[in-house]
Amino acid sequence: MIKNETMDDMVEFTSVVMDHCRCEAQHATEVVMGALNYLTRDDAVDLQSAVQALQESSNSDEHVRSLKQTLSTLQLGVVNKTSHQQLIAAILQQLQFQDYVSQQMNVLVKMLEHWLQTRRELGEAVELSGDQLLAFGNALAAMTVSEDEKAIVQRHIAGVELAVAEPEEVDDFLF
Amino acid sequence: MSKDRSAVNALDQAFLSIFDDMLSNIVRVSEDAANEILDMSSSISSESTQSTLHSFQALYQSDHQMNQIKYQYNCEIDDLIEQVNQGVELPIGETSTYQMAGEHLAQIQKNLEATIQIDKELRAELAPIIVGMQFAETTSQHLTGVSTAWQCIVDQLNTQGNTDGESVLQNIKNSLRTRVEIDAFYNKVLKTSPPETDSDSNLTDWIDALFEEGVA
Repeated sequence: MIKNETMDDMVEFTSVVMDHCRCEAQHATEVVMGALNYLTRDDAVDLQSAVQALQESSNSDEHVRSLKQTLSTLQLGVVNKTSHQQLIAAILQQLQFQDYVSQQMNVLVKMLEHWLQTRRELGEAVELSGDQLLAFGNALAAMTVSEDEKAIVQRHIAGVELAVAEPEEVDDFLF
Repeated sequence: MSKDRSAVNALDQAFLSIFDDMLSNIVRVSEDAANEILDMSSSISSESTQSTLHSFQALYQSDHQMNQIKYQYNCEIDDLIEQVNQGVELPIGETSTYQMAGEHLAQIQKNLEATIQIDKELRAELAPIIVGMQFAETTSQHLTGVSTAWQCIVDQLNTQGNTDGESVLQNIKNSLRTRVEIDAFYNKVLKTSPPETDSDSNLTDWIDALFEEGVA
């Protein structure tokens, strides 16, 4: 039988791996930003301050803010070389993807923590009522950031509300 | 499964199914992102560069031979550790699997190096593409490892009777493939020091070093 402590340890193990994924996302973003800065050096786009803020960002929230600032700068800027436009489109897509992965890692760790908390609250209970399961599902759905993810929760827990407010920091451009 | 905790078991099954689907969703998005980045890069790079990029992607994403080599190599390491634990004296020298893996990586590295050392402009153009594919694939690998580990837990939770928890942890340990997962599992779950083996991130380190000069 798996002990509760082992389940806690497994969550810690998962958190460490996901933290590593987040760090890799940040590192990849920095490399991409460096390349982007070089490629747009002659264009009417000033990425220096955005790149600097990105590199100095000390946590995930700051990182996302810096990334958004950079993307806004790029959207407003004029890229002179036509050959770079396609590349920059690919780069933007990649930045979105890296940001998406960072967000997902946060969501999954929060979900794991909520699950463990709910497990503890249930204790030795014999039956999980429909209302308890639904409340658990709604809490998980509220942590998600896209309709796809909410649908995943709903697929496994019938009756979960899909119309959950989007978190403030998410916009169309960043998934 | 113990009858007196059936509420927890029901919760576990619902949650771990959701969790596994969430992980699979990210892995799918990772693979799609890598493919899209590669497709979009076709307009800015030469045919030979594209060919190398495809080789690079194949190495990470769909090269079953390489995956098989990595798997065999990891199995051999496990066997070696087991033999050392049993006091068996081991022959000195590299295994044939290790040599195959080394040769395969060396060829890919050679092609990439030739492609990237052309000029600063091209290097800047390729950096986002290669780093993007690298990131997408390593993310996929890590999450697949986490997913497999939790699947072992689910399987145990779903098993009727008294399955040994230690054997589940042993199964998880054997399923882990990347250095990050192995280190985290030993440190956080097994509470022991991880075994010292060659890092699986040599290619990643090499790529990082290649792009450090002149791009950023």
